[in-house]
Amino acid sequence: MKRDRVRRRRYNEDMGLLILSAVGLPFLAVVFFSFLQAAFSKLGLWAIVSHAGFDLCKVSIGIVGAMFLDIQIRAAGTVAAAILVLEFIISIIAMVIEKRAKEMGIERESSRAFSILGCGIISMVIPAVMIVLSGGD
Amino acid sequence: MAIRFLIALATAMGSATLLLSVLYIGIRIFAPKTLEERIPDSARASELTPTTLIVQDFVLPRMPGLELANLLANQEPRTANVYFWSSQPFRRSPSLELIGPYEGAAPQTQAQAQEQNSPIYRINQIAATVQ
Repeated sequence: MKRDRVRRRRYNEDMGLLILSAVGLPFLAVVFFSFLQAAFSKLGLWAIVSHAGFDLCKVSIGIVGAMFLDIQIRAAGTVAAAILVLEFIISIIAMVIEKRAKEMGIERESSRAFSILGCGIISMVIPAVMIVLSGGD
Repeated sequence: MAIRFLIALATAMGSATLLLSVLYIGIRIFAPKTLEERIPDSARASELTPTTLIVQDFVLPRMPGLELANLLANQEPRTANVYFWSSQPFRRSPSLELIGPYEGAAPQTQAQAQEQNSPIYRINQIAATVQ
């Protein structure tokens, strides 16, 4: 009975961490970077959203650093390096979308900005969730 | 590890979908007109590299910069925007991107141009290095 309660509490904590890393962190980061852009530039809505996407890509590269420190990931250095390269790839995809949206058939500003922001969110969530799944805090 | 990575990837996709949907709905409610904005063509035009010289309304074939400078020097006083493009495809050297507006009387001699620090003189100088 007591063991079940402890297990359930542990499960709830793990799920909380997972949701925080998968949804909470990127949401808060998007809000922060959007307001930062709005405060210090006179860009339009879609430019702000695009810049927030790029900022998420940059932040995610920093998050990968935490994987190097997590001893519960086997071969942490190799895994973190692979994830880091994946982050670079996602970031460069975002840059290609920014520069060549027209050639890629993206006609609307909103589609371009959402694509870039999507890349940013994905690149941020992957390392954050991997750290949580590996038992890191 | 591979399974963890796949879970992380799926979570990332779901998270991105969720957050973008929330943002989309928010914008659709509060600023629906912005969703219709199209990417301006000027973004693409800036990447194009013409191999001609454009002087005001005239599109000239490529010509030596000194000739162009002489041509402009003989014009009446006026305002002109002069763009000088590299002939190399897909490369536009910043040093060749010239440079308006050109205002006032055109200098008649190089010394005069140097004195006035006029765009014409800058064309002359750059043309000399390009040729």
